[in-house]
Amino acid sequence: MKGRCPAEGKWHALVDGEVPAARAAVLHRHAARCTACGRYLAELRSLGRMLEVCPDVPVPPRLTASLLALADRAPGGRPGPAVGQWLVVASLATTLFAVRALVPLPVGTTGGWDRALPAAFEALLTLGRTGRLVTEALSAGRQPLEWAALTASVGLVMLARRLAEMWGRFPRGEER
Amino acid sequence: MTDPLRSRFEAAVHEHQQAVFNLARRMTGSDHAAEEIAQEAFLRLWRAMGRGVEPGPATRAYLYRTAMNLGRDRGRRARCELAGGCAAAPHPPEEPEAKMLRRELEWKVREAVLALPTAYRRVVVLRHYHGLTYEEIGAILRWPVSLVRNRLFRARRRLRQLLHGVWKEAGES
Repeated sequence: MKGRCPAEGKWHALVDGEVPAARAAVLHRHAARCTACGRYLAELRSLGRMLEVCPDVPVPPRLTASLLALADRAPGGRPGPAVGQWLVVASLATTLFAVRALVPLPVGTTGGWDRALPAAFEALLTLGRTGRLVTEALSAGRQPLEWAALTASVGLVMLARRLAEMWGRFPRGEER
Repeated sequence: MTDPLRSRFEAAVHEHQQAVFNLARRMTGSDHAAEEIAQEAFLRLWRAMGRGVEPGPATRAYLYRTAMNLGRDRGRRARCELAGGCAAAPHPPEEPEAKMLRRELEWKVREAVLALPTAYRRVVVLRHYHGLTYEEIGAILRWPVSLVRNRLFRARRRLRQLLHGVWKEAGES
């Protein structure tokens, strides 16, 4: 193909039927008089034909039966709650807790940046961990329930640690 | 009285099972994996329908996308368990030699498609085996049309390299 010939991508679009009729006619005329482009177009068509040697196979009858039986799974023909929504809720809860660690300590309590900085670091770690879990859960074909449980457990651990910290940090009752 | 939700699900199974099964089969190279993927994809569809988020006219795109995502983590080098692999499809009666040559060609083509990187294999399967347009492929894979065009272009270039020997043999015979 020479400099004035259409780009290779144009020929791909032509064999895929993605070129308007008027433009297709121009390309066909060019292919008829340009040996290199004509050969390239023929090769592309030949590749398409070669791929077609592997036709569709029929679905095994047992698969059809098991697919139809899926409708029997949920009680009353209706599936259970949306697991994906729980995943989002668990992730949000974890994230909120992580963000909570960044909020400055209440007035009257001891501490300051010396406590806030480690908390912020911990929060960032948790955010990273949660983000990774959620990304993997959404991208991979794994059961969302497993990931929801994992994410929620990370959130619960964070919650427990934060509560323990706050319990020790805030003076109680008459001590205030 | 028939449950309308169930009826719609059964209609979707009858309409799309063949395409979903074959799509998964071409993505993984394994009949067993393809059956599992089809099962999981339709289960997700059923759950979505139960939640009231029925894809409706986009059911095909929903199933294809789910099957593609599920197939991503499967071992791509798994071979067809069915005797003869692709040749399990019905063909007109042939002479033994012609049959052998055709099976060899099928095997080489299947291997070449499986040897493509996943992103390239996806566009090749959707374009060549399911006859989808660039726009439809983009909608399923959530890619812009320009990316579909680019990946298809690169995938074909790679296929031409992988099938170079086969091409020459086919041209000579």
